[in-house]
Amino acid sequence: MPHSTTSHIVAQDLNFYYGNTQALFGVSIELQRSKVTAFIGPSGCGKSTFLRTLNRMNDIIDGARLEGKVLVDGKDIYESSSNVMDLRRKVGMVFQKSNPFPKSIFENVAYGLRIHGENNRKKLEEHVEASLIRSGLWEEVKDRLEHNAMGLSGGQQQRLCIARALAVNPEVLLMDEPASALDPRSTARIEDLISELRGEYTIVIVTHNMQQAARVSDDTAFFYEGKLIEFGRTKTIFTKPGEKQTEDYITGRFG
Amino acid sequence: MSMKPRNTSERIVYYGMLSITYAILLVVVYIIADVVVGGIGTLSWEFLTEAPRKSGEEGGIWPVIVGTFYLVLGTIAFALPLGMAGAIYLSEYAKQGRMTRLIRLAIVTLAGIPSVVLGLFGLGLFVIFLGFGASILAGSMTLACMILPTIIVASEEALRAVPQSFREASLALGASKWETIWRNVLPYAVPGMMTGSILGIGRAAGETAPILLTAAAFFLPTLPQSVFDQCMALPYHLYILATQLPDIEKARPMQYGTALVLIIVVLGFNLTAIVIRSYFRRKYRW
Repeated sequence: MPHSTTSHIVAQDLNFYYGNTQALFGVSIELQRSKVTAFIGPSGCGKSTFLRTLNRMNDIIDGARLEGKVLVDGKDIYESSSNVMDLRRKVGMVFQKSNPFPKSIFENVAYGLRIHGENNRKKLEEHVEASLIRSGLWEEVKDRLEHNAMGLSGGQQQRLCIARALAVNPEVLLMDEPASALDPRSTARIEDLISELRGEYTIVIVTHNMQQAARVSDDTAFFYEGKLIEFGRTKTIFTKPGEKQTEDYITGRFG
Repeated sequence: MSMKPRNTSERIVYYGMLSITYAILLVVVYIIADVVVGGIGTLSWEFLTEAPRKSGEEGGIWPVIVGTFYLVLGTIAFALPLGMAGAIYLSEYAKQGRMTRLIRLAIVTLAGIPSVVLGLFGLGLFVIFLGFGASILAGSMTLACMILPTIIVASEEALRAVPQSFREASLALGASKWETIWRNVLPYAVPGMMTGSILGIGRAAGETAPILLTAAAFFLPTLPQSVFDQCMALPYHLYILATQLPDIEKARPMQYGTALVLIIVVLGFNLTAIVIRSYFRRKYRW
């Protein structure tokens, strides 16, 4: 166990299948509250699949099947009594390809609030502003909130998606390679943003970029071929990895 | 813009295609021009607002216009919600497999059924079995059956064209599946759905066979009072003017006038749909 603080998300012996293909093999991990955890590993290693089991986004895939447990705040999210809508509100997600809705900037951020029953214009405005300030986008868009979000640059779109996720007040933010489609400057802004949000949210970030993992995360998990190979403090993983496979990967010998 | 080909065989294909395209355009222009030229003289306040007399040889076509209007509205009222619901089920809810393949096969088959057969089906089911009698209700339902496949196929395609990432982003915010579809999929699919509906509605307004046995009256100079009344309809009225009158030559201006009004009504319905479509297109762009 890398920290003595409380665990926020716990996976126990998780197996995951796409039809007959097994994608995750007995993954057990404890993700710490208010820390940034990075998932690294080569393409197809299961890190994104695992990330998507944490807010049950894999539920929408035909033929997907899961064994084992995922506990969020000690409650099994795959139990039949568990409400997937409440879970996803609590465990927000930012996707690899920025996917703003083809609506105004304002309506993008307000979408989740409206879904959860907030229709008071003044309240919506307050929340939208607060979320955009948080995601560092406010200054750039405050004069054109009614413009279509599709007109923003790629980096701005991704920060808008982060604002949209933050607007519903999640406790956890899952980020699936949030900067992989962005230029270096936009990437740096996303990384700065993660640093600002650290401590307030439990953040899990999947990344192909090892420097990025080293820069932004407290803990790092290395996945390979559907298995969790090693999990520990980022500093330790990048300086004294315990496993040969981890060392080979982070030194660029494969992947 | 297109390049002018240099090589001989390319040139033959290029100009061949070009002339075929223009030939099609020419046919459309000719038909419309002929109807406009022949019918414009008949169009008058009296023609548009008065009831027909002497089987339509004299007087106007107001009840005929009203009848077609009701029939088309009724058709939209049945076909659009049903078609959209079917498309939403097929695209968003149904597990793709043997059952959905079977449903799609049934839809394509329905699209291929001759309209006169559908008319007989409507007579059997709506007019006789369900006891609606020959009426606007029975006619609308029969026409709805006819255009349902067009609407389902076009709507399903429109739904599938909405990026999966919009659905994922909405679900990830805690929206339910229906909320996601209602707020974040359907609005973007409206333009495509409208295109399908335009085609269907145009057909519904112009068809004779399905309403022949289910709704249309030969001569009924009064306006329908309820959905259980029979009505006159433009395409059927045109058929009568062109074939059933003692002196067909004498009724020529009435025929042209009716044809022109029919074309205007169909174009009017299409125009409405096009306006709605372009509104949604402008509102949601991606």
